[in-house]
Amino acid sequence: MAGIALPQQLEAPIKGTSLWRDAARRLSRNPAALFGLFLIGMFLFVAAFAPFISPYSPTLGDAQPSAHFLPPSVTHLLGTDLQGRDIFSRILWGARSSLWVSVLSVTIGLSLGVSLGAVSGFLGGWVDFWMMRAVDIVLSLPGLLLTITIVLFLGPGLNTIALAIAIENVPIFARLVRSGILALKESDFVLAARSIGASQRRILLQHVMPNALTPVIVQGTLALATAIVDAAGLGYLGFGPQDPATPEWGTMLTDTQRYLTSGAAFTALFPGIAIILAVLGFNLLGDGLREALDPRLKR
Amino acid sequence: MSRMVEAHQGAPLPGGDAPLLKVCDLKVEFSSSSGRVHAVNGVSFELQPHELLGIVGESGCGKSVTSLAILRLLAKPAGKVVGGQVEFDGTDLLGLDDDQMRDLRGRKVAMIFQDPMTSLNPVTTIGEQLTEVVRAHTKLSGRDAEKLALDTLELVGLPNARTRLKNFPHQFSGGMRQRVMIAMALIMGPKLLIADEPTTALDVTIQAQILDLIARVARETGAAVMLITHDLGVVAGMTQRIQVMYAGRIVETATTDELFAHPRHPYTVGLLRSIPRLDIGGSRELIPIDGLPPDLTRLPAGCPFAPRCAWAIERCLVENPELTVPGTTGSAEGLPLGTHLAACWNPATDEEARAGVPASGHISAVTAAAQTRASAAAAALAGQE
Repeated sequence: MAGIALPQQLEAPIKGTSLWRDAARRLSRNPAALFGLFLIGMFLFVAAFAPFISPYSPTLGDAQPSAHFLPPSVTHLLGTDLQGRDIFSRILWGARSSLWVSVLSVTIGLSLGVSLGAVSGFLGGWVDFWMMRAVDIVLSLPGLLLTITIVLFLGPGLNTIALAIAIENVPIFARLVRSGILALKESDFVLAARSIGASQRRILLQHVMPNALTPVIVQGTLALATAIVDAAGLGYLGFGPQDPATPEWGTMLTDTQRYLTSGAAFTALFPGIAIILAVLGFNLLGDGLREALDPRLKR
Repeated sequence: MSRMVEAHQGAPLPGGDAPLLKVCDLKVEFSSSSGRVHAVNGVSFELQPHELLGIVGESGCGKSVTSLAILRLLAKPAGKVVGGQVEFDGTDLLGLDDDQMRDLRGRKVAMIFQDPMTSLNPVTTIGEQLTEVVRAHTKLSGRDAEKLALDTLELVGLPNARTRLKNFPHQFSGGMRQRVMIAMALIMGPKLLIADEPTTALDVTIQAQILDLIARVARETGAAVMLITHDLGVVAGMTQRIQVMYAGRIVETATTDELFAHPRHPYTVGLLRSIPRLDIGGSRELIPIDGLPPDLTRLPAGCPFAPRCAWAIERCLVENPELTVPGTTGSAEGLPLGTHLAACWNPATDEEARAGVPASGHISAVTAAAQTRASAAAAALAGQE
């Protein structure tokens, strides 16, 4: 049959394009996602190089009341706070706290949640039943109350905040992965893999998980944004780092809230803007990733 | 019975050897919210080494379920083999433990699926998916596995196989993907290849190529093929023997030529009339089979095809026929492979099969029963007035 052996030269070699490279290409055409990436880049840069780019030490105050609440000027770009500390420097250093909390909490929450969800979805039966009931219970508790309770028990600080946010995230990731696995378990290519004698372990790791992880990547990016807001919220409520040498954006809001109406609104405005920009960056990237990774939107 | 049914026999197939596959009274059930679905109800057949067998029937007749049950790939926990034996190459498949069964799949029995667009994992290269089969069954090194993958891709006629190994499924057309699927099934040199509607999802122009390919690789590797399809045209050209399934049972089996020339079961007659045929010539209307397949949760006592059958007699409504030589009674046990068998109390003659309707004067028992009911109702109405 002539159709079986096409002349070799007819078909030019086709370069291997992985789904990831494909997704990266689609992401690069999305201006909103690129802006998100830019904001995240700034955030990471600031967090990494805070010691080198901040004009003052974040802890350097001034006892002179005349140096307190200075409005933005050339010497103090964003002004000074109630102890005469440079707000710009504190915001730069504060990026480190936010980055630490968000990355730590999402890492813990994602790895625990994905493992539990994978086991639950793949094993099914009573394991699945009880795990999902536990997830229902955690999800039925109001998020902020749960994290506050956990921090109350574990004591304030960046690490305990991260842990509390992680615990809040575990069921979200578990559910996401489980539903993906349930759908993929019935997929044609998993049946095909079983028909060629692939082991259960290989089917889970090679065929099911990589396909179930796309929504997890999107959710992970969005969870970083939520973690920054939650961390700032907990910091604002006084559960942030108790050491003043570790600036935290939420805590900065609390420090000066009593003076907001007496002409020092900028002391809260600038940390607030920092929070918004960081959160916006992760949200824009997350939405962009959702579009880039969704095979149904593939063009 | 006075009606004369000629006993046509095709040339007997190469028999005598131990069968490669022997399915005996296989029964499969699915539990569903609306009750037990009796998907396969006592299917028995044999397959010789190197044989090409076609299994034909409409959607839901149990042809795919039979093949999945043989490979023990039924969706758990809903699907269950509730009776029968499956013997492959001297091994009782239903008695194997999970590891032994897994080792057999892909190595001795392999399967080609319907939709090549969804049967390959979208996130790994086809090279990885091919070598995965090798590594699941042998201790070959990565390089040797890749060499084997390359050879198999060349066997199935994939151009530029070497560069194509690094490609992802979405970079292939449907026909090319089906070639890759066939390569995955063939790579370990299985003795049995189950092709479940391998051309249904493909473009018509590609279908013939893929069928030719399956026939050629089966010949070259010596694998037996079980070709499952709803399209009689697909099996006409390449199989040696055909089994027609309806409602989870085999209703007719014969060599391919014999079945097309002398269909006996009214369902086969209906199937043949519903496909276009070039060998008969002239323009001919395509006639669908009236009615719907039976509800497999509540099987009737009689022949499941009777409600749709113009040939139906009273007996069809109360007793389900077994596979016998058409026009005779008695067991089909011990007859040579390829003997024409049909499960029918009132098989069609050649003239009837050509006309597509029973000889004049015959009124289907279903119609007759309906008429009786109608006239009884009319009489009752008349009595009331």
